[in-house]
Amino acid sequence: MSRNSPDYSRREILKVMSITSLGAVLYTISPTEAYLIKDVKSSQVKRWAMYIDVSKCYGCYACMVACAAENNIPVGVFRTWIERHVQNSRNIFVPKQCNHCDNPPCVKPCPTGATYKNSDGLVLVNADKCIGCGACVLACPYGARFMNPITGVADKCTFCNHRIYQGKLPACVEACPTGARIFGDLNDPNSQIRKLVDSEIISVLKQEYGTKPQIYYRDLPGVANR
Amino acid sequence: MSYSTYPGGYVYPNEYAEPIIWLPVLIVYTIFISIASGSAILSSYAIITMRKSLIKIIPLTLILAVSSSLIILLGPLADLRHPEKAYLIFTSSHIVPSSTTPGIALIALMANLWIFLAVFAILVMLLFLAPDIAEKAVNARSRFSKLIYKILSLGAKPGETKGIHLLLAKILSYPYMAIGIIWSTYYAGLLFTAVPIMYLYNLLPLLPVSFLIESLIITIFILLLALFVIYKRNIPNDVLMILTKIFFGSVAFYIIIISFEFFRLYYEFSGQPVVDVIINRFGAINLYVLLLMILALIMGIVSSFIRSIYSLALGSILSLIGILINRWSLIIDLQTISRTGLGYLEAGIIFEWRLIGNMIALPLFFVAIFTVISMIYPIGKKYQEV
Repeated sequence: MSRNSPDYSRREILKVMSITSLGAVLYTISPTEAYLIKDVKSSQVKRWAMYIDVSKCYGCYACMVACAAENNIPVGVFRTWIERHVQNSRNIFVPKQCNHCDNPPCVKPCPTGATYKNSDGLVLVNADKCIGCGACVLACPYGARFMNPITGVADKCTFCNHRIYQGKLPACVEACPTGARIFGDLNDPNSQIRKLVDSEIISVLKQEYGTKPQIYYRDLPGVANR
Repeated sequence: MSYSTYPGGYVYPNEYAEPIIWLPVLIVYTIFISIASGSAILSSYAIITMRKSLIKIIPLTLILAVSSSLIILLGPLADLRHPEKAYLIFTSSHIVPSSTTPGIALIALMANLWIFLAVFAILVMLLFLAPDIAEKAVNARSRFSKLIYKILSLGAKPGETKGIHLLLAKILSYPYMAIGIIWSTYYAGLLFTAVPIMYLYNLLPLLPVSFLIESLIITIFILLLALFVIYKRNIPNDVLMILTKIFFGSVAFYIIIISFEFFRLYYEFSGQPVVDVIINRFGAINLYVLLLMILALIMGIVSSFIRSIYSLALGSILSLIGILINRWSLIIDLQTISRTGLGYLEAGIIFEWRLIGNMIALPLFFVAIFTVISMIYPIGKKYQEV
């Protein structure tokens, strides 16, 4: 290479060209689309889950009340409930709700695709598409779903998806006075839930169904896992 | 079980609020699935083989198939909380798996297949009965009915026995029979895919086969009923014999299947807590079904010896009662097994007039459609000639 010639190597030229093209592509994408791409990228790394320490629950029902108030749930049905079991003459309270399974059995029988799994692993119901056939209610081995007597569509826990994307906690978690419920992103190695799931002896409900539940229990009694 | 009777104290699972999701109207629905699919199988088999004794019942089975196929989707409509959105089953069918909606919904798949069932039923009937309708067009008195019959004859010549119409009907009968067989097993498939306790241990693997056989038994009952209403006691021996043969074979096979399932449940699975729940609920009921079917089989044997429509009809009624008991235990009782594993739930069925009305409306609508079609198409034509 002579001294007078421009001192750009082929690699540098290619680098400039590729950066320019990338800039042009990004410029053509509207702000909304760019936001969506960002959202998809960020959501791909999330896996919302809950850790419940059964030994910390003393059956105050604050979570049930908070959930009902937050989500306007009619009387008689519950997105989360607390079961009372007796083992060795001792009361054990086990909070239960939708397990937001990785392999959700409720999604498959839905004829219209109203029940779906979002990219963050939440199992949700699109009320506009739900025809109220009840197939998902029957398919859930945890009894977590119900037909909403007011709206007539399938209803269940959403992990308060209207709150968690605003950086808030689900209503039940926020209301729990003993901190028995821990909510967070399992895919975040620094999250409390990740550390607890990795360090504690945990169990899930009805593992034999192969649903891969995302509610992890500590100290779950056998009597509550039938 | 209610809040107060649960031995552990207070619990609040959702299933207590509404234990029965699929209401008794679905039993009527499954019966009509059986009639539509059973008559599809019988009529297409008769058209394919053209057995002399079966030819006589082809027009009747074809009309039965069309009348029942047209109404079967109305059954679940009565059970939907949002029937006004039922069209979404077709326009937003969950039949292609994706990352957000994995799997395939059997309800959506069968609803789409229903279109083929109904279209094939109508096409096979139109084509097979076209020569008869052409004959009716020739003999029609009014100009209007002549025009209608002429359109329905699809260009067939009066009384032709080897035309293109019959050939097409025969060709279409093959896929029609396949669709009929698939549709007959629909509800068994639905139980396998939608009811957790069924897919957990695959407790009743022969359920689809028993539903297929049930569809034939129920169709024989409806055929006998229709023949009796239309022709009183003047049913020729060969028709009676072929119906007896089909009935006898179906009931015998059905007894073998349910006996096998019955003993398999007891000896292979008893002792497992989850399975015990289903065994306790099904054991006794299955025994009644078995006894009724054995009685029906005896009636079938008697009918083949004395060639009496009454003994066959009695056998057919007994078998229908057995099937109804079985359907009740599978559709209603199965739902009362607690999904949260807390025991049995109270059935919680309140017999409202609305429910009974829905259950009666479906058969009445079927009879109305059957009557209208049988006024146009000559049911007894081939029956009397052959």
